[in-house]
Amino acid sequence: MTIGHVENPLVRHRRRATASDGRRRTFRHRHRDLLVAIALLSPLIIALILFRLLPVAQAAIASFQLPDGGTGLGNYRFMLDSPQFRNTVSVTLWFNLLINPIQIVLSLALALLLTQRLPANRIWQTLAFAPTAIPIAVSAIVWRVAFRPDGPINAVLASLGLPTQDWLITESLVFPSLITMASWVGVGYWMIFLIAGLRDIPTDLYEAAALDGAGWWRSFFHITLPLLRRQLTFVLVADTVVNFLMFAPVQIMTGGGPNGATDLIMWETYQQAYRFDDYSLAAAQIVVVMTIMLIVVAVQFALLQPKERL
Amino acid sequence: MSRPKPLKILALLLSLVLVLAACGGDAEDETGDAPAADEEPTDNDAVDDSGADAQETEEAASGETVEISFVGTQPPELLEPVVEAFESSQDRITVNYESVPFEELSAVIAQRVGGATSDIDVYYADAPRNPSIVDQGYALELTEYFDDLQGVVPEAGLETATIDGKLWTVPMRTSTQILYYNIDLLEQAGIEPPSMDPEERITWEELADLARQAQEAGAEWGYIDDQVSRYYQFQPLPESLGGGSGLTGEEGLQPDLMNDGWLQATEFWAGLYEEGLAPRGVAPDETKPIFVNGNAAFMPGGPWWIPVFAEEEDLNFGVAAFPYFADGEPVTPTDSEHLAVDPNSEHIEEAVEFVKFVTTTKDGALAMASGLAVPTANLEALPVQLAELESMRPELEGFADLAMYEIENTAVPRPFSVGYVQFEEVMNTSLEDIRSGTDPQERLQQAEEEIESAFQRL
Amino acid sequence: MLDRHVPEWIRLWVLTPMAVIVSGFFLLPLWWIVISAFRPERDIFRYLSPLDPRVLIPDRVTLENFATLFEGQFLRATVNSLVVAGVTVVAGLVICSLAAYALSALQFRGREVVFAIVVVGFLVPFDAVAIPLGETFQDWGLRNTYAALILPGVGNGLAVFAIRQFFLGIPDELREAARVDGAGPLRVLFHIYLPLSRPALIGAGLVLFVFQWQAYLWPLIVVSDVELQVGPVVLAQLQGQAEYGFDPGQIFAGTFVLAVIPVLALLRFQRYFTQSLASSGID
Repeated sequence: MTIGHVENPLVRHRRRATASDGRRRTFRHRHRDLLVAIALLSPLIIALILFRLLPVAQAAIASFQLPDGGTGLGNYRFMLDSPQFRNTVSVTLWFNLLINPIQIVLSLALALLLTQRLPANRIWQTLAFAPTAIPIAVSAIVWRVAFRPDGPINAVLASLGLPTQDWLITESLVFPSLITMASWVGVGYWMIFLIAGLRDIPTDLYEAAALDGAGWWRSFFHITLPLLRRQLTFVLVADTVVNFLMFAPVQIMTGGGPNGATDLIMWETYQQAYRFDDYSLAAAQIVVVMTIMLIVVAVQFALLQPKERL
Repeated sequence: MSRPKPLKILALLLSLVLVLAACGGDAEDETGDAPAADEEPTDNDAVDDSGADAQETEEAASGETVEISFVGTQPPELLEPVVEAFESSQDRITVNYESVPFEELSAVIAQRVGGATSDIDVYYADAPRNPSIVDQGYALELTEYFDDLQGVVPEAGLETATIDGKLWTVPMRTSTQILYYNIDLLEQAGIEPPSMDPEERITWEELADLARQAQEAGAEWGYIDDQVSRYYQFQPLPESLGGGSGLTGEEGLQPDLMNDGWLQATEFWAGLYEEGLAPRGVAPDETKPIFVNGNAAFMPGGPWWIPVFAEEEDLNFGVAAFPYFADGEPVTPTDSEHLAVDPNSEHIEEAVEFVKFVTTTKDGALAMASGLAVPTANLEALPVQLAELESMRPELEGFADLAMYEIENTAVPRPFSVGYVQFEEVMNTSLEDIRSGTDPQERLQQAEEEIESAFQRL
Repeated sequence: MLDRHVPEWIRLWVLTPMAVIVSGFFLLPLWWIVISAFRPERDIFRYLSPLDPRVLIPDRVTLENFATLFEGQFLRATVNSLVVAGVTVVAGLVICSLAAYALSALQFRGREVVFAIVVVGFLVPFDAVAIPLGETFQDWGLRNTYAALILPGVGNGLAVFAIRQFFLGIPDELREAARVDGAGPLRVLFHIYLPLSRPALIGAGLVLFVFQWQAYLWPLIVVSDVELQVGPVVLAQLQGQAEYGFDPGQIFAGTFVLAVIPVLALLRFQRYFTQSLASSGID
């Protein structure tokens, strides 16, 4: 990383920029901006409509088609009446309440650790990222083997004189096991985005803070966290989406078990759509997942970006 | 961690990939697959010859050639012998095989056959899914194209292929189960190997005792299931005790899991795991390595493992007849893949010709069998294939007769129901929960409720 | 940087060992995959129970898994994956940075709402809408084309998000100055914003790349032509026969190839990626 003398004016600009963000413009300016914006946004919006919104609309319509050929709310009623589906929703919410904060804290800790000037730093960063490149199904196979009751993790525990565990087939241990696997896959990926954000925090802020006698924790809470807010929001939202939609690890490692403890919603939906050919029920489930996800993401935005509104 | 070495290999591999990418671009034609022929341990000399000259005739074929598209779940290498044999048996039809992962087969069929893309002509139909395939209109009725198949394919297979007196699919493969045992582990425990004679088959209760003895004498596991916690593997246990398949009613839409046969069989099976004779938490595709590496004394499993096991020189194994319950009947699971024709196919006649070649001719069936050791459903070719398997180890003498006996006498097909897929899924999940320690009776009760609920959607 | 506060001895004797231990957590499973690719198939599940050091230190090494793998469809499929991911990254970066510019540098009523719709709209679980979308593609006659594989990946809400977050940090004054000089929005974007935003573009490129690199269900549905199949699909086909036989050697060899490519790419780009906005402004 090169930090030359040229950076200083830019950094100063930048700090003022935060203040100028919300500044009001003239009407003429805005009008021109609108036309340009439409032009620049159109390719993305077309892609959005054709490849996401249109099929969602089709799915939403399909969700009202009943297996007997009629239309109505029957699919939704069936879902709400089903104890399994209620279990699925609650398992999905609990899983996300646990895994998202854990992964954010871990990736932030990892980003902070691996941006220290340590020997062979790039090797550690690359190792942490590498699991993202492994096809998720293979990662799941590897961890399924690792968690076997007669597998390597228990062998290590036993050799240390610790009690062995039936990781994936004990209800209380299956969440921690899945979270471990998912974090192995994902934390390094999110870390990369946080490292980019950390690099972007002007060094002179820390120097000034150090001159004022601020310690590591104070600098962390007063400089690092606030200036990392955008990256953290991005990572939190993106991570939440990934975890809401997780299904391959469930399919391969737990099959939703033991006793429905990992019956995450996308696994349920995947089965309805692709194994049972019950597309209309799957579509209704997708509508439910999307609604829940929208609410969660909206809450995250509201909590993390209060100043970004126009 | 030695850094430079792996990095070098990575770089080397990447450049290899890129170089091949550069020349792979225009090498569209796949005639270059020839070297793959000797890589598979097919061990089937009978068919190998036919494949060799297929290459030469390929180019010569001119005029109106028709290409049919064939979708299956095995890797293309395994299907090469049958495709080549078919193409050299006539010069009008060529076959383009496409492999789809088993898990996604029904999605792909729903998408392409259901969507009338007419880009599939022939595809694999997993036997118990037949009622659902027919129900959704994904299969062409084949009655008029085939003469009576009685005696050509096994009875159980024909039963699943026929719905309302009409033929919809043709059995391509069948299956049965045998009891593998590790000779060294049995000797170590002083156990007399169980018999291959179906009349003298051992009971499940005896098997549990032997497994216990073997484990006490040092085997890591006394017993292991091949497709553990899968309905296919488990079905013979309740069936043996008269508990039925788990589905009753005229259309097989009534779950019936709380009868004595089911409860007793499930509790017995759960006990094997509870006691620690068999390993919990090991997935179905991880059980074979345990047997291969000499860590389990007994394993009921399919005969398709014989070539795999026979290749391991330090694995001393034998086979015996599949067990039954002392108070019950001998029962073995059966059936496998059938072939179906897409009703939207633009080459129905050619598609049917291919299906006939694979299922009703001895040569075609043997070519199919040479790729994968799952028993062919062609009754003329089956003994040849079984004899071939038997010849792989001296200890297997008598295996062919045993397998033939089971397929003809003790085979019970999976239940016949449009809801089979849902039923199977609930059963697999429930069995896995029970294996992991959930109370069998409670879990079966819950499974009944889940199945009833799932059937409401049909 | 925050690391100014950390004394040297802590860095050496506390943080470095921590980094090593944490990396070990990431490394061990990776290492297992790598050596499984290079060892005889039978050894892969062999020394797990009872645990033997040979689990991680192979006593027999072979290239046989790769030889078998490369005889099949896998190489061509990997090339297809590279083409699809490569085109997606380039096209996606153009489309997403145009949009990100509109959503950050320009002021118009409803900007935040459009942004929210973009981000949320692209959050739709793609696997879940693959069936209706597959039918649409068939109507358009796009089945069995590279276009079918590439198009759904070029728009990406998270990529827009990543680029926009970065653009928001670029001072208005730079843009205003260019405008006074008569530069249009495209010139401002390509000459001021994009050169400053290399880290964000690499981040967004990563998002676009990973989306396509991991794509599985969609290619399976929209492509039936063997020539067009992508890496993960062919890898899954090797697994598809798990009921009758399982070739873990080939699967791990394929995984190795599929994983090595992005890792090398990351090593290559890491230098740019970890630059700050400030320092990237130098060139």
